[in-house]
Amino acid sequence: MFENKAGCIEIMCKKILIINIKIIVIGLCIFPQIAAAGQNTVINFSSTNFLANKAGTDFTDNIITDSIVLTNTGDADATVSVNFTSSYGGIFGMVNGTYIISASNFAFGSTVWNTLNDNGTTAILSDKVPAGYDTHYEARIRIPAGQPALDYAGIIEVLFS
Amino acid sequence: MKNIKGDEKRMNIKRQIFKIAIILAIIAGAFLASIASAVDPGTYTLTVSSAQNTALTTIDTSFSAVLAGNTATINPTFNATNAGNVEANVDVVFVVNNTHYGFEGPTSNIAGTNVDMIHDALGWEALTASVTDKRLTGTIAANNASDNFGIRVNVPAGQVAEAYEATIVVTFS
Repeated sequence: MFENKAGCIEIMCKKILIINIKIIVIGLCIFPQIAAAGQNTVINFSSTNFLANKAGTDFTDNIITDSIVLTNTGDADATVSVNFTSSYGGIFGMVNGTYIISASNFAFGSTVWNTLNDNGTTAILSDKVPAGYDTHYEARIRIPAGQPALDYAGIIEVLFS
Repeated sequence: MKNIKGDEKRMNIKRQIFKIAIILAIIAGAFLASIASAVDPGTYTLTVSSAQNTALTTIDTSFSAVLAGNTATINPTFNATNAGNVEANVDVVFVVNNTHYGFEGPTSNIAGTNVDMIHDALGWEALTASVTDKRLTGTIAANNASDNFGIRVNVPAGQVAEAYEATIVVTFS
């Protein structure tokens, strides 16, 4: 009886060892699938100051080249989303007191320029940051006709995914 | 002795599960971190200047044939739109060509004082026969105001029958 019981215990131990091996195998399978793919993007901005200009000038009249440089050291392309956080009266954009140049007059891009959203939601840029590369983005602004002569400032938020 | 072995096995299993849980937690954290990261790149600034910003669009600049002693009119001859934030003055002058300031033909000319312009139906005003600009009455309002301008030439009696040409410069300020 004792030997039989001991035999049973040994068999159970072997089963336990087999279960252990299965768990480890599952762990090894999950790790490369989840952790290997992903963007890893950092931002550097060189200039955020537009030159003074007249009301009624278009995007092509007000350009900051290399406004921001995005570097993606990950192994997946990074999607870039941008939104204004500065606003007045529920409209987001460049502001001075009660005056605003709404976000739809502000564009970002590298090869394709996407305007931002007046309601503060993120706008997804057409130009992604390829894995392992830098991408230079321009900022452009259109000054609406009759815009009051003031100094305007606007804060944007950039999201990578 | 049997109980000790069993406890060790159970402890080993717990250790393995604990290790896997930690690895999964690290992986999940790294995965979530790689999904999205928000950055504030700073504040953009812009100064909008106080200025008119007027553009001219030509409509028609060809007079039909006219007899000496008669008048020919093109109205409108051009349109001007001011997208700026201050109103714009309008000055007009003939370009200097062979020292005559007006319409010029191969053998004769029509002085600029025989040429009138009208801004936004505010009345006809004669231009000059010199380098001096003529400031037309009225301004073009700011914020995309758009005004029409007309031109009229009074061909003097006995004017030589030939083709005349002139270039004017319109300045907004």
